[in-house]
Amino acid sequence: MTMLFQGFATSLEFQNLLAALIGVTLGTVAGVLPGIGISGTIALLLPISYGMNTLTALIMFSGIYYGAMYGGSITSILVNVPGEGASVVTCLEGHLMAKRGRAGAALAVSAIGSFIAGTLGVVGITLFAPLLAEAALAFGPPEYFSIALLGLVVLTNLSGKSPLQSFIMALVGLMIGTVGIDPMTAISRFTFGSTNLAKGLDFIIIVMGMFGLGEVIATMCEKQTNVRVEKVKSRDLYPTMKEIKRSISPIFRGGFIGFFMGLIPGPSATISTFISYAVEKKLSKNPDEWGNVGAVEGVAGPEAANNAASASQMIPLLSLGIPFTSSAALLLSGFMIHGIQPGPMLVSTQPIIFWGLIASMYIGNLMCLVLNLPMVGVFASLLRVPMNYLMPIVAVITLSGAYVLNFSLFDLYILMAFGLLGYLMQKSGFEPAPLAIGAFLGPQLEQGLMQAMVICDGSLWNMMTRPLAGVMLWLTVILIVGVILKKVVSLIWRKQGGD
Amino acid sequence: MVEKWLSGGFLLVSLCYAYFATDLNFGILAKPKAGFMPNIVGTLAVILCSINLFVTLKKKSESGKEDGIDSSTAFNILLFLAGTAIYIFALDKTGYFIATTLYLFYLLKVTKTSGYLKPAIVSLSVVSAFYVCFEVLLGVVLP
Repeated sequence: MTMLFQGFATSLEFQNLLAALIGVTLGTVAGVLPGIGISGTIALLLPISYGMNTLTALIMFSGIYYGAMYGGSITSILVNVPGEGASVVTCLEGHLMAKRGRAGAALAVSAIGSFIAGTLGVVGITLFAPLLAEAALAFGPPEYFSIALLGLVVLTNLSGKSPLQSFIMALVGLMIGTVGIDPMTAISRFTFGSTNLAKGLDFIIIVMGMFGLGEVIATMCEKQTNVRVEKVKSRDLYPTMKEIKRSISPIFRGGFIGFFMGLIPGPSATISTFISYAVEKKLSKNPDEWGNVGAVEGVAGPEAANNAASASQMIPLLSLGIPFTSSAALLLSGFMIHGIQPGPMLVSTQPIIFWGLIASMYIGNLMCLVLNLPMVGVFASLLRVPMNYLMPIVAVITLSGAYVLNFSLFDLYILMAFGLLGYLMQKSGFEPAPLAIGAFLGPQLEQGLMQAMVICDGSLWNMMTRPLAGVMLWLTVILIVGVILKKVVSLIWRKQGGD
Repeated sequence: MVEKWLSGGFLLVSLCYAYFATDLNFGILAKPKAGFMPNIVGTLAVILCSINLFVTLKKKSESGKEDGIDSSTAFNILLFLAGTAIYIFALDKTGYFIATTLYLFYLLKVTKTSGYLKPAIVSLSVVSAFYVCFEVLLGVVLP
């Protein structure tokens, strides 16, 4: 508790509060812009943290994270365009509310729900992350390898339409992770004599290309249809007492659903919103409103679930150093730019950073609420900025930011290639998140696997008989076999149906 | 269409990767070497990409529908990529300020922004702002 108070003392310093404000504002602005999403937002804004001290930069990143999440709900409610998967459900009832003149109330409920659930999530991080980090100190390479492998397999199972394509994407990510000099043996791999490739492909460049530039290409090069933005009147901004009463229980239910779902690797924030929506629809006393005029519970529950899940996703990131979502991986890369390696040692070696960051999450959440409620109209007006001006500027920001990372022109060619790949993946239904996580986890997975094989004398069975590693590996096997069986059964059913 | 080409592309990449991975020393299970993981990943990728390409081709022939990029979008993408490649090349030769101003102006024209004066003013002012932000405020050395 003392450490948390020290964290608050550090976070409440003027420059850190300013960083949180800038982060939340930039995050909301970028989150409002159609299609960019949280990952794209963080990728685009990473370079602006250069020159800041470490904690200030990390506080700004968490502000961006929260701001972008809220920005996504603005577009869902006002334009019916979800910025990312987790905002899809908000469109269903939120936009219907907006159409009958309750846009302000929907946005306010969304902001309040996000704040309450986000704060609940941060309380969870405060309680569980240090405990998990302490337990993780006893983990060896087999445990790390098995946790990372299970996370990757769960992610590929849950992402996209086809688990097969998601598995391929994860493998492509792992391939990318092996390019460069092998840190264990110092042997150059897949570099073809290029000195630029010897240091490997920078993960941040890859995600900036796939999520940032890919989206820019899509918006800039495709024919755009004008969006119709629902107006927000200041007198309609605040929810009525009845709407508040109807929202309280869904917010807490959504918060708990989101928090526990967020601990599962993969797009758990999106899944938690669907679960929360289904639960609220089932429990609703006004079933006629759902899908007709818009039910406020359908905004409050999913938005709370989304924010709580996004907060609890930080637990494995901070305590194990393993990101299970692309936005968490980007956040991690933001930490790494400033020389911070999240993981079990972070609490003991950098307590000021760890607790300062946690305290800043409380502050960031509150700032998000304070800033967004009165400024909803201003953020919504951003949707009217012409895309033909905005996207070229975003392209220049991305390229400038990518150059500044390593001062390498070669990186810009890599960025361009991954931008095109990201666009093509968008068009074809291949999921980019497993590729990004695969590329990030690849080196850790490889190191863990090689050390684990040495420790276990080359026997996979030995690894599977270790308590924690064994459970994780068996779960991984069950998941893979489950996917294959499901596919075989569906093929048999289709064949029988066809006959 | 895009899915088909991309599936084929991933298979080709996997085949090349698996081929070059064989040049690396696999080691033994108890003492893995630099080629251990690449060989496993490459082989798995080739198998899964082959299955995926087969499934994708079958799916297309069954549904008869094609997903694709229309010619005007393809042309715009080509313009964007060509412009970006030239910009990266020019960065080293002309420096950040000139190259980026011209590049932004070019992109504004690719997105069919009307007139010349307004895009020119926007390009100049935006790049000046970036230049001040990176070079002066953040102390970053730009090309």
